[in-house]
Amino acid sequence: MNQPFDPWSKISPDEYRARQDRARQSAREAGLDGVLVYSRGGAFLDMHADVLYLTNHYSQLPYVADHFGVGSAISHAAVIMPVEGPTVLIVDVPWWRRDLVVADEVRDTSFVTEAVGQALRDTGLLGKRVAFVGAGFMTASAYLGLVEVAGDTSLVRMDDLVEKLRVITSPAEREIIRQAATIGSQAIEGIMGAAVEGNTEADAVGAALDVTIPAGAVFYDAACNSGPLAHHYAWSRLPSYDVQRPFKNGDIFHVDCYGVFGGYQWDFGRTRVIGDQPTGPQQALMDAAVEIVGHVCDSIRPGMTGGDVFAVAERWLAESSPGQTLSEQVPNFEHLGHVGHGIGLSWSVPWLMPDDQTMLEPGMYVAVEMMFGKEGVGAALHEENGLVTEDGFEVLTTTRQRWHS
Amino acid sequence: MTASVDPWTFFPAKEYKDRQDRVRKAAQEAGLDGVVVYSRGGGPVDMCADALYLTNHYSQQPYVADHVGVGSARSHGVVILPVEGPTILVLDIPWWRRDVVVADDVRASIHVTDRVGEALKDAKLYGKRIGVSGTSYMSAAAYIGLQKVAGDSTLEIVDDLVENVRIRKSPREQDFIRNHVAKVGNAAVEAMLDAAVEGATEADCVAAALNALVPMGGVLYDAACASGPNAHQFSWDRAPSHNATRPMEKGDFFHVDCYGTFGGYLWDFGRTRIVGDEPTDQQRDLIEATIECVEVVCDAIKPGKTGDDILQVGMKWLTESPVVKSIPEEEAETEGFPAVGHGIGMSWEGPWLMEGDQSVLEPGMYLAAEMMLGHPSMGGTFFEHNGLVTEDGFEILTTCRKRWWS
Repeated sequence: MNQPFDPWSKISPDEYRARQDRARQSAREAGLDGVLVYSRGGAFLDMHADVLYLTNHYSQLPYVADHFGVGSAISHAAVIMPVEGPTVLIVDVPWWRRDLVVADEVRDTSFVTEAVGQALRDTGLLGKRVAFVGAGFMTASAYLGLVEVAGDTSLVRMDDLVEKLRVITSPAEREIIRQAATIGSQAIEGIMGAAVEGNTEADAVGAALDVTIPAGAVFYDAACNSGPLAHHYAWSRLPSYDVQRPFKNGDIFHVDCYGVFGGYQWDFGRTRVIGDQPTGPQQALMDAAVEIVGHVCDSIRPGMTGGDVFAVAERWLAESSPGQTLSEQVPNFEHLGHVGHGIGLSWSVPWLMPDDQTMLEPGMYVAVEMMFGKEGVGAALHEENGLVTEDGFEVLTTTRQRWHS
Repeated sequence: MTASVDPWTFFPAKEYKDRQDRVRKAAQEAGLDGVVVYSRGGGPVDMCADALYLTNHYSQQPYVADHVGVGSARSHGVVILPVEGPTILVLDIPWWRRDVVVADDVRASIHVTDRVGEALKDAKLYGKRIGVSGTSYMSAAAYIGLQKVAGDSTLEIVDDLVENVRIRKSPREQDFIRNHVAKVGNAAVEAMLDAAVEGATEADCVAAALNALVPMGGVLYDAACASGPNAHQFSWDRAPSHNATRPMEKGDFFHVDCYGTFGGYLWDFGRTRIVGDEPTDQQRDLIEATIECVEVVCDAIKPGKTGDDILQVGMKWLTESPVVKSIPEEEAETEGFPAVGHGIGMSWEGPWLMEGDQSVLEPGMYLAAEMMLGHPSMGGTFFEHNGLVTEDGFEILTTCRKRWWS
């Protein structure tokens, strides 16, 4: 399947410039002189969000550690934005996409750290108070290099400055997100469809790759488990799926699959019993996971906080018939730490967990998830993705929920 | 083809313990009281090396940034090695692999940073001189957290301390790389290039590689590639690094630098094909020049040579090559990749075959030798071999075919 549209040109340059201006405004409101944003690329998709969001730049250059001397902060990019002044983007590749990237000035170099220092100087930010964004999305060595080149600049850590701008998606973003959810749905339908006796977890993941790669998506990971140790979230590592053990009828198989299209994630999962004839305890786990996630999705409304949504799940567990049955049958189900989180270019707010005060708003892209596990029975993982609407929650994932009749 | 061996039980526990002891010794020789080693997992494979090498631990927990408040240093694994004392491993998942991980004391918590602070105290390293290995393989937030929990300990950055131990592969590692890692890489790259036919997209080629390597237990790190009008670039598309929309046309260059891992160990090599297998004379000359340059470099690799020595061999060949002389000169857009190769293993590593590198090549080192030539008016070619330094030369492990035309 060839992708029907190019996600990288879907968002207009004006939208990127507006994002940059909103970041400037956030810095201004915080009484700062500018913003410095770091992100990391290098083919992986869990540290890239902020720079991509602001400038449509992503570096695919493989990561090389600083201490080799080949360059500095390779695979990283940095955006420097004085409150009053141009947007300067430092990139580490000569083949940066001149047809896509939106910045007033782009400087390419293998020595990103030194170029950031120069850009701070050129933009008049050296020695000033600068919002520093990206400590979670850059290496420690890039940070230590920055501290050196920033001299007496005051780096005021504001890790969520850009994330807060990202959390409400625009119409153009939602178009890409819908496509991401479609590809993800097909991918997971592929995985679960291949979860049959004799196949391995790797065969199931292979079926997802057959969908995602021709569609132009990036497969991030498929954390899965099956068989005797399926009460754990995952067991195999590098890759996160087993390539040796053939599924047997009666095995419970669950997967949490995440990938991106045009930088935007899908992140959801399903559970199937091989042979589609679950035991009573297996079916109870699976039904409970599907029902609690469905109930939470049905309950989401703008104006609720992440904590409010978590409380909905807690009440379901305490008061619903499946929840009570589950508590009796599975006294040691996995700790209920959260029931979901925002997604988009990264995992992000709102976190559907106790005390989260983020107010849900239309346009937020959210994952709702639950896993129940019991040693000897296995575990059931269920997750949906959707958009907060004016009056509720639109589930975007179309993958079937149950394989047993 | 299925996995030939279980990589996670291939190495006996004793080998991991020996590695830990060698790192302790290196720390002692550096005048340190101990070392704390950080690595990151979470699906990606380019920050995972040191903790995996020392303890056989890798966390597949997806990365969540510290500021979110769902734990700290998620996806990281941290090894605390006092010069005198037990190996403590702090990790972020309850389902860590009790059947394969090698450490005296394993502590699982989503609050990795806090547990590291406690482990430093328990290991009696608190307030002492502690080497930090892994500032390139941990997030800045994790480091800032470490600074806080380390109190008045002196943190000395020793980023290459573990790498210097990793760089010489044990006989068992060499066996693993030769007979298993290279096998997966060769199958993947050969499948990828075989799929580079008229009408196929770059994505179709990558899908073919995945179909080959996934059942074998390989992990595709990336396939940086370019073709047709963008072939003079190392890579053009991003996230993914391959194009999913443009069908390749007869006469297009298609080149790929493909890297992946099996059991944590990398393969990293590439090839070039002309779609339709009827290259023009200029295309053929360019491809042949790239192959010849890399093979001249491979022939020069011998124990006792330095990284710089090998670079000079490559530079001499490039300077004298009539094909290279025929490439129009243009102003460099950036510093570019200043090497003709580098060490590999569980990460890119030394020796770097670049100017000024004085690392002395030794038997058991695992190297990649590579070259890319191109120009907007000509297209571009890429070629790379992987191999092991032997007692008297270099054993090339990439048996994947080099030319597709007849």
